[in-house]
Amino acid sequence: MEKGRTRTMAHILRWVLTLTFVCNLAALPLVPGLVGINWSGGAETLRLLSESSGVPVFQVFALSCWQYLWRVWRIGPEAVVLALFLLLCGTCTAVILWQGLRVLKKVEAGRAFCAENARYAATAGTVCFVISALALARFLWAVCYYGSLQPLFSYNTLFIPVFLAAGLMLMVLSALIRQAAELKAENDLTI
Amino acid sequence: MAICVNLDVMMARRKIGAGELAAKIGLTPANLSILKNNHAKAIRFSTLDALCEALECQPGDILEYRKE
Repeated sequence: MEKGRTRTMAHILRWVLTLTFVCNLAALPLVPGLVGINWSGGAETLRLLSESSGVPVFQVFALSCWQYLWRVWRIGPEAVVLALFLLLCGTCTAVILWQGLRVLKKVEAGRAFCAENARYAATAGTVCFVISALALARFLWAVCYYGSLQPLFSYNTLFIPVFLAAGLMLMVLSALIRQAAELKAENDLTI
Repeated sequence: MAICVNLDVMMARRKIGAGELAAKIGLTPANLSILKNNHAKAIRFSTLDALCEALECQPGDILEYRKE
């Protein structure tokens, strides 16, 4: 009964994660465009461009995203750092989601406690540490660049402890799964 | 592991096959194979009891300690 419920929940969660993973991958190429559009006036500029040219907003957005793929790197250091940070973090979150999908696939197959799941959780934890380190690097860069402690009060600073804690939790979870897998193997091999 | 299971020796002495022994003591052939091939991590007293009864032997005839 409990096993069936766990599998059902894992199945639903796997669908949600798959959708999130696809959205994550689809959003990655749009990052330079979104940063560029944000730097050149945001949605208002898009609307004005659309009205003056008579082209639909979505088309203007798509064209801007395409152009900013290489133009964003010439806007300025702030835009470059933001685009790089978001691109790297987006890649990292895609890796975390992929590991989550692999874990859920094993749970659905009824093999929640196996060495592979421990490895997947550890990989996700390591990637969380990478995101935390990236946020720290961006924070330090911003402190040096602006010459003030104002970046301390941004969402970017929040990334550092949140992803550090998430990484540590995933590492603990990985150790627990490994221990459970060992106990299960021992139990299975008790005749 | 330093503990060796000499089940195949006892089975040969008693001229009994794996399938027959498994059926006699209520084990699956797969589990008996794990035991016979020294892949088991532990053995329950109830299994040992059934094995000794079926093979008419002592636990020492089945289990042996070999210094590694």
